[in-house]
Amino acid sequence: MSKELILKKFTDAVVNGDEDLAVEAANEAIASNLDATEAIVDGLSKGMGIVGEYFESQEYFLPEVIVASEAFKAGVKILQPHIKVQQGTKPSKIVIGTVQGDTHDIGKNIVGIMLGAAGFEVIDVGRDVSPKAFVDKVKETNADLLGLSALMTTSMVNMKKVLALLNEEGVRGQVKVMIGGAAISQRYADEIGADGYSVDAVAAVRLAQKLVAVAA
Amino acid sequence: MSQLTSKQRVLNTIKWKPVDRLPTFAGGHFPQLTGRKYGRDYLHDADAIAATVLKQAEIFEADADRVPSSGALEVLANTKLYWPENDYPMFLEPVITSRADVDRLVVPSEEELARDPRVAAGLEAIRIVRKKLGPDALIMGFVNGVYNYAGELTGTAALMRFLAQDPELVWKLGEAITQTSINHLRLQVKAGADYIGMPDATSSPACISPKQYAEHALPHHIKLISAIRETGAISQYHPCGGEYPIIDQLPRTGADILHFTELVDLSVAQKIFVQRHAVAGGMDVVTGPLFLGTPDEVDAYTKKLIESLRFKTGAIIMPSCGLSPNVPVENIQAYIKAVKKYSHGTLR
Repeated sequence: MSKELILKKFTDAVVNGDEDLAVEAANEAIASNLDATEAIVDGLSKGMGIVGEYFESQEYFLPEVIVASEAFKAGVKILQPHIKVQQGTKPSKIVIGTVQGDTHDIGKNIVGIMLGAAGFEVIDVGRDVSPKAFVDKVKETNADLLGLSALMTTSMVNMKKVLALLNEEGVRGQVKVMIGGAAISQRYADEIGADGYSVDAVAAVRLAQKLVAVAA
Repeated sequence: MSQLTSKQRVLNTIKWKPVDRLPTFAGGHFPQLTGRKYGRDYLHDADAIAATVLKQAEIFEADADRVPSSGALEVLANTKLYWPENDYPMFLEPVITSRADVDRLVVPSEEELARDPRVAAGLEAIRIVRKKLGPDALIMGFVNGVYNYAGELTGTAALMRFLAQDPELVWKLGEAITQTSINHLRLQVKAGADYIGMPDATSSPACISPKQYAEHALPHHIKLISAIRETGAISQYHPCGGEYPIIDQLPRTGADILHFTELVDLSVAQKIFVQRHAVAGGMDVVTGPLFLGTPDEVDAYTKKLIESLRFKTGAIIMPSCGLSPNVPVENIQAYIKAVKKYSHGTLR
């Protein structure tokens, strides 16, 4: 099978949430000596990009995104050992959670799902999370990114406390901090010294990819 | 028009009849007002819950007093909860991971639910509040929406995956949850509640499509709300999250009151549902002045909101979603006073 057809199969597998097809494509890619990174970037990730666009335009919703991400992961699982041999890459880690005082976590969950689907290792610390718990988890996991969520103006003030504690503990320089939620704006991100703000889950994935690329 | 009782005012609002002023609800529960913290001990203490509700009734003077009622899902799940400090309890591990787990669920009867200490505390709190406030007070009970509960049992991501790959599992889980909630709300009405609120963010367009909502969530909502109406209680549904894509489906729920988030303009919703459903909300908890503003700013915000309404009935002014405990009490008082001040008068 030609490289183009295999890559298309990867993309179709993700867009249609077809795990079996993703596995089939991955096995064909290996048998054909297709570069594993190319298979992920130009096949699986391309599919996730389309899924992201469909989600943004409300053609897809969370169930479709979830099964797409399952297909993505099924393909990556087979390709992963080959990437390590060739490139030595590993997924970026992001700690996410809803800040203290806020029990609304649907938005954070959606962002977590989208980040996972995009290949990030997502460590979800839940809702109503204290600044110390965030900082401890960043230290423990050596995370590349920290994502803070807040729905309400009442709780967004606690984002600033997380950033202050990261500074106090001397780990601010090791982790990029991105924030989001209904009450949040770019202006607030600038005000508290966060590295970025995203308006929705799709933008959060783009921002995370950008921040990781900048840090690398 | 002569002054109505809170109950008369809300009933007239639902029927789109004239009111002396718009009804207004506080929309939150604040244990700190009685020196307590939200948590396991508190939610097992009927006297403490009732004391908070009565304190709120005294200082807010709103048209309904909500009594937190919980515990039914834990009985259905037959699993222990984790109780974080000052927050809602949660399951640490998914309770439902397969069809076999769903098949093992046994819907608790009203009697079995009433024996659970937390459910019993909520019911007793309703009885205490009813006795203290009398028959004219409007007492609000609560059941969570079927997908909110399902998400607690499976985890949100797993629920979404099940919906895509095994919708029958989700349907069966929904049936068990809905019947449990029906049994729970019936107990609350028997204890003295005359108004049941039901929010469901996880079946909103923030998570699932309008088509999935119609096929997999709406039938459960219809069944639950129908059960509320059969008890004679008022039903309120809060489709929490980007409601516009399903706004055409909401009348099918049969809910007396449709409670919208800040994402829906209350004045637009009022015009859409004129003479059909009462609409509620309007006090934006996300970007409005409730948290960071002053009472004067809250007053001005509320005045503008009321002026935006085409009709002076069919609407209830309340927070657009759950209020955080650290919202200043004086700001809650300010909007309730403002509603009374600015909506007083006749129909346009």
